[in-house]
Amino acid sequence: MSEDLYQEQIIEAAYNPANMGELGEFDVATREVSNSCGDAFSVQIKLSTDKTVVEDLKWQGNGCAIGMAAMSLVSSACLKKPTSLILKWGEKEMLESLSLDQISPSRSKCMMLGLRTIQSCLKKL
Amino acid sequence: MLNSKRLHQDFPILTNSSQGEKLVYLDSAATSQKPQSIIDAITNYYQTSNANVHRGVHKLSDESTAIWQKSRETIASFFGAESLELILLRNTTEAINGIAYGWGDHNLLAGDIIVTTLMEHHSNFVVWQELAKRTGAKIEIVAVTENGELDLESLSEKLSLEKVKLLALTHVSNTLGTLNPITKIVRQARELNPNIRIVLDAAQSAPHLPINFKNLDVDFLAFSGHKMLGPMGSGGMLVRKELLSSGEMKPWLFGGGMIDSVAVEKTTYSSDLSERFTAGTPDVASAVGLAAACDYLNNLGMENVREHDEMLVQYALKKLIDLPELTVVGPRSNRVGSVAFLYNNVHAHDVAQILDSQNIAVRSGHHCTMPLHTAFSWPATVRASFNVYNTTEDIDALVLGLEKVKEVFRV
Repeated sequence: MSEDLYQEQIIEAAYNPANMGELGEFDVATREVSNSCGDAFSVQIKLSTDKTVVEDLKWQGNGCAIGMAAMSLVSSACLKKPTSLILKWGEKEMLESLSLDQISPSRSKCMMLGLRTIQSCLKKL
Repeated sequence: MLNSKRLHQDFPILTNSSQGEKLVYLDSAATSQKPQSIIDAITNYYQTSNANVHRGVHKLSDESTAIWQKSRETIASFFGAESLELILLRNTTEAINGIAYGWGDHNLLAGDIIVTTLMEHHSNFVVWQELAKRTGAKIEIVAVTENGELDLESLSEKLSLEKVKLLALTHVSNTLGTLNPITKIVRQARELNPNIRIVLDAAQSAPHLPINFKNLDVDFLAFSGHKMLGPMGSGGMLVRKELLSSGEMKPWLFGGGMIDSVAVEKTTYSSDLSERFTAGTPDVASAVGLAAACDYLNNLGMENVREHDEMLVQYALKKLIDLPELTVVGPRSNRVGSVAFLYNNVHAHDVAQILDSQNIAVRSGHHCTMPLHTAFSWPATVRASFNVYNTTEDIDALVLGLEKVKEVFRV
């Protein structure tokens, strides 16, 4: 299972992450830290005028390949999506986006850090 | 010298790997594996002697009480201490919390200073932050040099401040592997401040070095039995008996077993020091297991254990420093128990995962030393740590296992 974790898609997303950077203007921002390894992501989100849809999102941070790939993929998945939908996502959606059947409890923390950061940012609204 | 290949046979988990593959266990600084004799001692206690201690007049209770007392004596004597100086708890963290509640809350005032260091495990750091919040005391942090040793100039400076009441430091760093020159430090601390109290975190030294509580001349020594071949949930501390008998250190857990007499108006506590700090039914089986671990280590000889560890650490350092993709952290000498490193461009968790796929168990992360990792800008490190059952072949397996990281990440 451990070696299967590092599929081409994950390595590619981890080492060429999408949506990394900073927004000139944004509506909400936050930073989350993983208590198991100290990895941290910060995120900035620009919303539609009625504040219901994610118009743009940029993030920064460092993490393991799983964390970086997951953040890269979920950040792309969030674009132009309703915030109400994003807030419903969980481990199932993250496993799907990474094309994984399962993940160990410790690595699940790595996988979930990106989504957790985005969700805690949206909850600040 | 230890014959680790033969010792290996004493540890069932290392010989009966569930996957059928040989387990290379390099995470002993987190917890050690347990020899069959210790597992048997615990089982035997439950099969033949289990009853509550100090609670009954029946034979089994007497037998269990005798076993409890004998185990306490064995453990205390392993550390060169008296039985009454031993407080058995679950681990080092619980012991250090006990010092904060039993000593700190009664002896620190607003403005007093607690000196600790940047290389401490969170258990010897967060506890003092919380104590400082409760008492208004201040924390001063001793720096660590670039090569991972305690900055002795910074230490002198902090110890020379007025109102220093407590020095809390580790014997061996769980991340850097650094062995602190504790004899020199204690001497200096006592010269500068005869009334200082000293807490030594021996979690990472007790499994590898001969320890003599009396000779170390510290006031409190906290240890984790589960890191020194003992069962999970075994650990505790030694407290200099003068602090216990004078009442400077007070009980912080109250209830059954630790009292002298209880009346509606007032309760007095047991004058027997070994009882005063044991509230409630103790974990006798863990004490039995830990005593068996002390016997096991004594049979090996702690000098032999120390030599074996030194050999493994030096071998690992030599092998790992040679790998250009790694940056080994910590000093090159005077270190104990472990070697931690960063892998260029690959996160520690990913390295550990690839090693796990080859049945090599290492620790990755911040190892509960976030302030140290932050100060050195290390996101996370990989740590290989050792115990008596490890061999140079395990380190060779690690080096070979690291090749696979290169393959997967193409670095």
